[in-house]
Amino acid sequence: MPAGATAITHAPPGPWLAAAGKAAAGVSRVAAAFTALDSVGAIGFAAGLAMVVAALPSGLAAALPGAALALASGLARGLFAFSATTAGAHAAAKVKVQTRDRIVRASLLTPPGDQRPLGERLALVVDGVESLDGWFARFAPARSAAASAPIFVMAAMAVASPVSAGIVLCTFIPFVTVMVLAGGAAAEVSRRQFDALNRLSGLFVDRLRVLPLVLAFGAEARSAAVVHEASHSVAHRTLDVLKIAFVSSAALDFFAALSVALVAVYCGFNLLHLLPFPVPERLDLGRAVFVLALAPEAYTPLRRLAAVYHDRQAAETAAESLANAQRASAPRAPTWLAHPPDLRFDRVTVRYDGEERAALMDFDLTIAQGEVVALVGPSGAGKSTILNLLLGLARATDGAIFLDGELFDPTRPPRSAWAGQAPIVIPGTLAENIAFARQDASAREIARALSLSGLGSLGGAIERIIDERGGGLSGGERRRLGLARAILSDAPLLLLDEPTANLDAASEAALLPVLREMVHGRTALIATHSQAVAGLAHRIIRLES
Amino acid sequence: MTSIVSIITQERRKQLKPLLLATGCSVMAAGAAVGLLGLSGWFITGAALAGIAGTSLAFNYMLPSAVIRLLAIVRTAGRYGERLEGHRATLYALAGIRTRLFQGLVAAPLETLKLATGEASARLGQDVDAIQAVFIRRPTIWAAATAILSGVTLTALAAGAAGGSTVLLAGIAILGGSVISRRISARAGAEVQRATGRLKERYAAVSSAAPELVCYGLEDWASGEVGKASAALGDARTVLSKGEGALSILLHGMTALAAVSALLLAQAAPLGMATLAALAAAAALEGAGALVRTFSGDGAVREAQHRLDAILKRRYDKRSMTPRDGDLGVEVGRTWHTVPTGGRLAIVGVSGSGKTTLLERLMGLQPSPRGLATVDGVDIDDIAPVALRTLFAFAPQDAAVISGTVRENLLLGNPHASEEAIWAALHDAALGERVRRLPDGLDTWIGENGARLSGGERRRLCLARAFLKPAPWLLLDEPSEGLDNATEALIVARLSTRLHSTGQGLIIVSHRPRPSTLCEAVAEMDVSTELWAA
Repeated sequence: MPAGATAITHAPPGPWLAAAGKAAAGVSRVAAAFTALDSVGAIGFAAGLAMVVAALPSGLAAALPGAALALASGLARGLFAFSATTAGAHAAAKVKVQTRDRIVRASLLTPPGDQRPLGERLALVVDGVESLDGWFARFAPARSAAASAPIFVMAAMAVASPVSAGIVLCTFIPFVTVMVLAGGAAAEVSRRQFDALNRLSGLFVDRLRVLPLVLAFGAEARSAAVVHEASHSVAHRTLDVLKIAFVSSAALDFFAALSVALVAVYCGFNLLHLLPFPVPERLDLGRAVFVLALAPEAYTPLRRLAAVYHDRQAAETAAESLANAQRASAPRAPTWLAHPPDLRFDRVTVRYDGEERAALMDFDLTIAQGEVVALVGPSGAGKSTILNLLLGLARATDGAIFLDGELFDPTRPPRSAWAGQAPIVIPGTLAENIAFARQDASAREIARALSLSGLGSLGGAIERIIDERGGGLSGGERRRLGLARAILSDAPLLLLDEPTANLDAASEAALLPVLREMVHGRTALIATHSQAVAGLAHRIIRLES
Repeated sequence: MTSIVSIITQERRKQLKPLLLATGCSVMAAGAAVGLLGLSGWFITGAALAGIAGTSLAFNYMLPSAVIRLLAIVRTAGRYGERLEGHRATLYALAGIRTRLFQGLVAAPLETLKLATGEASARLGQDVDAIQAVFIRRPTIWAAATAILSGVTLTALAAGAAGGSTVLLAGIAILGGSVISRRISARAGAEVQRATGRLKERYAAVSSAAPELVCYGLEDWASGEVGKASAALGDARTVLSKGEGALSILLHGMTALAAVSALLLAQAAPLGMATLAALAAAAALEGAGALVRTFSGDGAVREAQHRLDAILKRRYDKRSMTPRDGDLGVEVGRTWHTVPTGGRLAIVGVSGSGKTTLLERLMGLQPSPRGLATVDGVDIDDIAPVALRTLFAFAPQDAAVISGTVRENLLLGNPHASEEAIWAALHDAALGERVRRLPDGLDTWIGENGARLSGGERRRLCLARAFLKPAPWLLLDEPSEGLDNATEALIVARLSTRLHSTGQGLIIVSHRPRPSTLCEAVAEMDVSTELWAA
């Protein structure tokens, strides 16, 4: 486990799942009710069949009511199953959409240094949430039906043959024991499977993300070998999970078959009057057929439950991670600044988990309203870290920051105009990528930001399509995209991270007047190696490594 | 061109043994289940008749009750074997398919990889998962056939008409199921696959952009984008569940109809036989039902195959020329430059003039026009990119790193690098001290895309990685970008020493003056180069 993974505590997932399910409580109850009703249909079918068998010697006409009852019951079971399936799907869909929204919001607010790799995030947000489906669509209704339906069936059996019902009741004991044992064994195995899936997803996405790197270093075969190993490990772990599920349902199948046989033998002996002990009942053929047809149905609710046991396990494992991801950050309201803020850093230290060297150490700085400060110093001295603190992308491990005199809350960073080192490209047009900074910006304002940043003069037509890999944008152009966003934004706090890196001297000179205009009327922090850019500031702060 | 179907066939062949075992087990289980039902019926009715006729001792009740127990064991074991072996075959075949797809993705020319990260992840994940239905299908077909055949035989023993009605109703159930699946489930299943891809694509896009989105206050917009895709997936699954529900109505209805009609049609037979016919007909329909339920996965399978074919459908490189190490010739700004083995060339030019593109073409990461560059007189367009890349150790401009440890990143340069060579490379990249002080040294996790390193540190890590690769040429794209003057000077001085001892050639792109001082020649890009390339 890499150091980036913060210690994960395994809270019991039950309460979290229960809370997540509240949104769909009504429709979940409907699904459970229809699942339980299936047993009522089964009773009707068995009764119909028994009536036909009893009446058949007296001719076809006498058998018709029974036949009608059996048919109607069969159809009713179908309708109940339809309603249970669709209601369960509705409940699951509702829970999944809501949960996913919360997880996505939480993940957007997690600082990059604390993020799990994108592939693992994808696995959690998409597959992890999707695995709640089994819980809400199938397991929860099956569990609640399993508590009531066998009782209906045994009650119906008891009407025809109390002894048979008693036999079935006794065989429930090994049945329930097996299920409890299987449930206990599965949790750890299921967690290992979940981890293997995460690892595979993380690997895939990371290797595809850096595909040019893989190719450049001829690491195709090595990467494929790692993927091969990871996918086989998933197969292996999944099989471990399934083995438990299969063994327990085989055990249940077996007990069910045996107890049905037991009922059959009892009925047979009873009909033959050959029982070696006295019983308070005499069966006829109709009642025997009814009891025999119904005996397997007593186990159906539990077998249905056993069949979805690994759905339950998968959901519980995912729920642990989902609960952690959700807890990682609380929802927050944005802080909009009405005017250029003043800032004060008071002995601020930033240190990543387990790192001996702090990314920033005892940093003090007071910045007045509308002041422009340049941060200079060697690579790794903490220039970007200071900007990241204000963006909520890094957390101070010690010391405090004050914004307009109030203690800065890293979970509610102020909206700012920011041009970072690696501006992100979202697949779409260049204009869409700039408009990012202010959604209500007009086409003219976007065009202006484009041309001021210098992107316009580089053949960057506003409708130019850029792909996820930043397709077609050079390093310098990408920097300018960040600048264009900062230009378009009207936030009164400006954060520029090496705005002229990747630019040649002439391009940098051309950009200086634009930067001068940008800092005007805002509180600004500029991290830079360029003396010319630092020259725009009211004050230059030198950081030592 | 490889198609996903041929990959599936090959991987299936590798799993022949477990698949055969699964099929055998499923046939055994289905046969036992039918026998069990029929025998129970016959036993109980036979016993009743014996009791009524007062010939209780003549009826051999011991045999059927023993057989019932035997059949119960056979059925249980068969079902367990079928499920375990079937899933074993499927899971390992899927693992093989995933590896093959990944190999296909990395072997294809890079420029054809237009797939967004999230989409690629969905295809290798959900779409491959959907393929499992293909594997599970076969044993199910055999099991259904066995169940129907033995059910029909048992009902036909009671009355020919009862057997006929069972065949007819099983046929209707299969046909009807396939119609329902085509009408409802096929489209919804396909939509589930597409929606999952879209959801992953959307989330990957906004999640990568999270810092910017949050900075500009777009969390609501971003989560709304993901939410739309999430809702679409939920809707598709709900429709799919309707298809499954419709199948339930059909199957339950048909099963009841088959049992009742078998019973009525066998009216003339002894009552025991008639009861047996009813139970056997129900079992036959249940066997058919297991098959019919797999139909609802068909839409997803077809769509998944289609989506996987789309990533395999590419032109593969057939060039086979192996490059020899020799003079490097390259056209920069309409001037031809020849760099002898071990020579050094600096490429300069204004931002956006195509310097990076040129290096990526040399690396075979972008298609290059003929006449752009030669190695030992051979046009690089004639050289397979895989072979071409062995000539160059590349430090890209974007300073990309893999999510992992410092060591994993460095070993990408040379998997066999010694500890000593690793530290030497780190020293030359002016990163040795920093790495020594990391909590776990070389084995420190650096976060996704090196999030725990500063921009300059990431760049130096890439430099050290390039140093480790034993290639005749170093290809460095803006190696000192974002570094302070002192560090830049240190790196340039150490690089000079390093090149003297390794004898490697150097192609360097930089807009900063100092790195170029290492080079004997400077080539200047002009803006028109890019126009020409376009």
